[in-house]
Amino acid sequence: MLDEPLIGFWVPMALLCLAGGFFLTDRKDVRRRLAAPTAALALAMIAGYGLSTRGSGIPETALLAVWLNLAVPVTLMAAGTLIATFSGPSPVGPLPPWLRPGGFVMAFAGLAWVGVMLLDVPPGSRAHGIGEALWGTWVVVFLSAAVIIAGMGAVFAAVLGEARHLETSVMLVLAGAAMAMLRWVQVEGSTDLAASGWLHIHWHWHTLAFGGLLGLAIAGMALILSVYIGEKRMPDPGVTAPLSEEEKVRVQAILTANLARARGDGGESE
Amino acid sequence: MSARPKPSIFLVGLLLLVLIIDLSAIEAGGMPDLGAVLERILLGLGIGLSLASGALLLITLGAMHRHMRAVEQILGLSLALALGLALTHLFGGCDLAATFSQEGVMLLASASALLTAGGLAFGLLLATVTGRTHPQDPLLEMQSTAPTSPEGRRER
Repeated sequence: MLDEPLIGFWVPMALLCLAGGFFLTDRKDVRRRLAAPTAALALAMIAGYGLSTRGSGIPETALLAVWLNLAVPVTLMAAGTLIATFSGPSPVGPLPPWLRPGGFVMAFAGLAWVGVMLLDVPPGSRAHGIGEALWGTWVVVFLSAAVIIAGMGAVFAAVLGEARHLETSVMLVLAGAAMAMLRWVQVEGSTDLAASGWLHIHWHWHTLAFGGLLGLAIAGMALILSVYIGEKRMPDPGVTAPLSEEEKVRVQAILTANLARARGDGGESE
Repeated sequence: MSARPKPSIFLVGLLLLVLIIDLSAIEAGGMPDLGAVLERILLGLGIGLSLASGALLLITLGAMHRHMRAVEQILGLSLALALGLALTHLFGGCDLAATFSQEGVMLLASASALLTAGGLAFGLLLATVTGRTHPQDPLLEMQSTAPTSPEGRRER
């Protein structure tokens, strides 16, 4: 049963979303304690699905294989940027001088790793069919996004002033390296996929991803709009029922007690 | 102090970068069929809208509590989900399950690629910005003066 994509992949994805919702509840809510077990169950189901359908040409399995293939370079990039960020000037004590440059080297090594994967003969999971299309789409979207985001980062650092040459240079190097790799696969192709295949991915799958991004933005706006409408329809706090006689007496007693205490304090200080 | 940058410079930069990437592909392989490209974008929009609003709907249902205005949120997200499914049906064919299996998986791969690229670029930008060292404030290097008495006279 777990080898069905609906049960083994999409249901756990839905469970992960539910776990996210549970995590957002109040700390005392019983659902908050269910968040971690639900997420763990979902991840276990995905792992079980991946193991039971390993080697098949099912799109969901191919996606898991591509993610597994990319685990090393993505981890290198993530760890490298984190190390470079948190090993800056420290008020606590001096850090090893090689730590910060090491972080930058790790981050760029992740990018270089993706380049080596393009030169290398791919494993069966991404050598043909949907696996190849998924891998190609990941590469094209990653490189295009790196060009756009790093390019915008370079513009941002340049217009920020205060001679931010290092920031601008690092962003330009990243955008330039990603653009060079993108151009290279578009003209020369990679070891397993000809240039025409990469161009097909660009116009067929990359455009789908662009539309998907627009869809994601529209869904976000739908959420904001529905929350706004909900807030607008909240009952006016100005038309709440007036205090009952019993409540009035209670409020009067509290105010009188507080006033007496305040007068007593003032008298003491004088 | 430098002048505040205009937002239009970022928009122009963004459009220029998108144009460079697409012109590179056109130069390498010729002009694509624009109608087909538009159809793919609309199909992607439908699938992306369905997946994202479905995920947000599940998160909303998971986090629902009695003080929340949940009806509007659930209705709004359900409408967005229905719109996404209609677009997917219109541009992707009748077999919604097959479309989601093929194209939906492709969108998940693209989303992970986008997150990785964003994390790498913003992470490096943050690392370079936070690692910036400034020359020491010259006031800190000055010799401290003798403290003055409450009357304003210098104590010896």
